[in-house]
Amino acid sequence: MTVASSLTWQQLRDLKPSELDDAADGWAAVARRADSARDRVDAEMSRALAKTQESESAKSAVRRLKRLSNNYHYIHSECGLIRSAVNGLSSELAVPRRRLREALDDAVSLCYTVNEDGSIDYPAGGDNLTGDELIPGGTVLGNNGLIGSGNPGLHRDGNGLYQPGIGQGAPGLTSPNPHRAKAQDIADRIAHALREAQDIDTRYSQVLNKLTAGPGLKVDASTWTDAAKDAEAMRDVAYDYLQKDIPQDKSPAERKAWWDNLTKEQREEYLAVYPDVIGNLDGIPAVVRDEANRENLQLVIGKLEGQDDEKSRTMLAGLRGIDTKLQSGSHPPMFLLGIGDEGNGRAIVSYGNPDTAKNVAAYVPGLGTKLDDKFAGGTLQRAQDTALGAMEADKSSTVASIVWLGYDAPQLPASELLDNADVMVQDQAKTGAPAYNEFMAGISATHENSDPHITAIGHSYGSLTVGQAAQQQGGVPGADDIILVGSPGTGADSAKELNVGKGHVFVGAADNDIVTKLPSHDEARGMATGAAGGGSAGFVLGTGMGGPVGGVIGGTAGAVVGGIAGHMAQDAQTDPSQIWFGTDPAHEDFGATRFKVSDGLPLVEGGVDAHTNYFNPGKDQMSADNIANIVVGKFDEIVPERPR
Amino acid sequence: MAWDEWEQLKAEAVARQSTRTHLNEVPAGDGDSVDGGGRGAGSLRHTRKPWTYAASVANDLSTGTKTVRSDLQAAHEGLGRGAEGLSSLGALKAVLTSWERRLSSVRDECAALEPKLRSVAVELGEVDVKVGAETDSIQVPGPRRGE
Repeated sequence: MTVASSLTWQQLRDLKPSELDDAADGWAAVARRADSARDRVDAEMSRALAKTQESESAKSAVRRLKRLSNNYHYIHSECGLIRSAVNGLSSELAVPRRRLREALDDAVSLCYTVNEDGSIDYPAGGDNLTGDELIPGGTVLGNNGLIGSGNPGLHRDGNGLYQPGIGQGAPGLTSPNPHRAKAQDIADRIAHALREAQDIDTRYSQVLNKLTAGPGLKVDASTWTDAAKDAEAMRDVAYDYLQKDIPQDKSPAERKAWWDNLTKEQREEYLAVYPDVIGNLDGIPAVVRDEANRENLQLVIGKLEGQDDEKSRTMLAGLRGIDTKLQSGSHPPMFLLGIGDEGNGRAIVSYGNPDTAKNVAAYVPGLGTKLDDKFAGGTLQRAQDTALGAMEADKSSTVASIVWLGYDAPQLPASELLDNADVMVQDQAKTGAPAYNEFMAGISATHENSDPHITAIGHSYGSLTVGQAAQQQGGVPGADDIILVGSPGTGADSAKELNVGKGHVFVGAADNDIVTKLPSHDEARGMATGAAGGGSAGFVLGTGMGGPVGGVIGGTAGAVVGGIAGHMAQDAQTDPSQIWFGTDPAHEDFGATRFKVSDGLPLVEGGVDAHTNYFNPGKDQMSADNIANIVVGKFDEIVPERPR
Repeated sequence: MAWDEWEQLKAEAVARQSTRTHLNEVPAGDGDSVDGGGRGAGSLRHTRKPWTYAASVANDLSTGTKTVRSDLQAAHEGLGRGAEGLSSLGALKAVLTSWERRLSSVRDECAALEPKLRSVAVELGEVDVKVGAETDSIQVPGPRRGE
């Protein structure tokens, strides 16, 4: 429904933006109080009642409290948008209103009459050197610049077609009465200002029409789907008012400075209208990102619920899993540092506050990782286990353990493995590396202490991403140590290239972790033609292995499978230090410090366990403890392993 | 778990909530459901009356929401004079009416919840929250227990 503005110039002149600002403040108060009401319902009502739901009336009360909480959440979200719509309207209208008033002031000082329809009467004038009468005055109509019916001042020929060459003000008929040109200028300025104001009015009335409240007390999936659309419409409308000032092209440090200098009201508006941007902007403080992302989480869930395809459903499962964990709370508490539905999904979750923790670890997950229910389950668990392990390793310290899924990890379709799969696979790490570095620069920029101990951790393919990031100019910002577990290579040939200094690169590689033993692609090519021979050596590949590694090996069966198996079973045919992505970080040639991990079950028996247990204290206590000790800087406690 | 670790967990959980003025200064958001382990839940029983307290919060919210609604109305009083002619004004008025209605519904819900929460408290035999903590252990039968 298009509601075209019919604002007149008199109305624009008489507009009082302060009245709109007062109304906006009213909406701001509603949003604020609804937010605090929601917190009260959750903290002071629902939480305590979880334990005592024996009776039917108790259960019914708890359900109603959940709905009440959702109602306050809905009010907070939508009224925040309305507030910014009204503020934006007021702020944007101020510009054409000022221009109109300037034009009117000019008319007054020149003694021209501004007519009701916006046309201007000008007096007689002109030079009378010849002693002739003055050139008579007249009326001009403003040209607001539109080509079309919205412009009464547009010059048309007898057939009604646009003809700039005829009519009033056309060059050939310029009147020698100087008043005419001045009057035309004023009339044009009035017309332009009015048109601009009408455009603003139309845009904002369209978005406001979307922001009416749903009926009753219902807050369900469709409510949030609509809220997501409202939020998107508001983001589009508020570009000039709000979005263009977000320093998206600046450094994390500059962004932090920008946020620090905003007023409380400005911050509220950015969080209400652009939680998607603020939550994912490196350089914004962690608690703010968390608040923004929790808000945006609800909107993204709403959006995905309104979409009915495989990808959306997968991501929705992941987001719901994260939401469940957020709602039930965790130890240490979770901070949502990033959430998004681009690509295979984005999620950055910290256990512990990375802005205050003395030890911060940020781990990049590997093959097959995407935003799905497994992410919300096992992947988050790894980050949490690392946090708990580190807290145990140094009880006097504070820890934050982050999992960073800020890129699309390769899902490795098995059918593409042989056809330049290695190049495709490298690309994603190369794309992810700068994003990871910017995230880490954000961690350093927002940290409240001067010198936290920061560890970058790469697992599986994630170690290529971290490795690539570390090889960039300056290395991973702020990183003191790097841990690589289950690595198929980093693209580097020596630990020195990772820019953290000698003795600061640590590697865990289980003997039965096939990902750490993939042949270099020279060998693989050789194998594909049958050159490397060797039997299956008792490996059960393909159907025997689940998940991503199964995809690597099993899908293509035949030559490569037999070849890789043969490679592992026999002595290496070529340089043993070279694996899929360069020098094996566990090899002595690489020059890293290898720590002990459990060998894991052989592939025949345990599938991919050896590749996935590095962080799991239940399945590989040795590895988990070593990682924990590195994270808290207790290098003496590490149990070393001989390099390969 | 060591007491100081428990206290730290609680402190973290409380810090995670926004700071609000609490009725009777009863602390909110204690960590009893943070990790779901129910650790120390027994020690919390004698300091809180969950259902009665929730009822008083419902009362608070009912009043508060009503105030919020009338403040919102008042904030729009100047608009007729100051924003005449804007299509956005018409849209805003419709939006305002819809949210006034919604806020009324929420206010009514809070008002309806209060007696329901109190009746569950009665079922569970809770002592009135206004009674101080030191009398908690004294199970005095009174009118609220329906005896």
